Amino acid sequence: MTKQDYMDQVAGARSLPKRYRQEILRDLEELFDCAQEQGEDLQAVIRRLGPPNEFVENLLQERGIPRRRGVPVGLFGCGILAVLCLLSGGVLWWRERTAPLIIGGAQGTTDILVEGDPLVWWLLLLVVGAILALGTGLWYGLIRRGRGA
Amino acid sequence: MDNRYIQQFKKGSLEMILLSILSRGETYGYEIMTQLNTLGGEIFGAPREGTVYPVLYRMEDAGLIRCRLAPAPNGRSRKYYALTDLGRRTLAELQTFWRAYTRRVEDFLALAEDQEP
Repeated sequence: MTKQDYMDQVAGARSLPKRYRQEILRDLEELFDCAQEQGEDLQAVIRRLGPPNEFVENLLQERGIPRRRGVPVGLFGCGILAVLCLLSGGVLWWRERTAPLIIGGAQGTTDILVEGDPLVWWLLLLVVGAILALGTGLWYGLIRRGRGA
Repeated sequence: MDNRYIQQFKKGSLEMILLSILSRGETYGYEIMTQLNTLGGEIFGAPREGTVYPVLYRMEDAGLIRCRLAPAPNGRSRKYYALTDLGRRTLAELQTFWRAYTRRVEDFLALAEDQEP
């Protein structure tokens, strides 16, 4: 593993909160620079640092930093479902608006009763989509607040 | 002998040792590692940066040491660590405890030596 590989793996560690990343990378860069100035083999330094994930875990443990977790899959699912509902509702509403032209009509009062679809699908999809979007936003906000990120 | 016991022992005294090194004056990370290797000898057996640096961060968070960035000869920056007043007081307390602790442990070890055939 090269010095850059090591630095990249530490930088990319998902468990490492962003606010600590810059400081740690700076310190690692300094360590490697000093070792190089003293003619030391960087591989020896990398061995002493230990595997990048272990180094980061050790760091988090010593500093009492909670591991940064990824966003739950369910949150993504809700978000996608919200978008699909809103899009579908929007498309159906638009189709309602641009319904085919009437090709005929009566010239007087008739007893013909025309019944439409009692369930306005586009409205239902828009409402469900809006509720899902709101719920997704609240859920995400709670996660962020809970982690103190 | 199981190395784990020795590792735990060393880990427990690492803070005190780092505070002792820093009591000699402000210094930077690589120099701390060099002093650990030089003075620690085979007992400490090449302490690892992967162990020491996290402890340095913890000590800084606890207010035992402070750090400052200064220009390094290579044009980049170098982080210098120094003891705070709290660090000095903590070191003094640890030294007192250590001396009392090792005296008592010696007493217990003497018990085991008395039992040896």
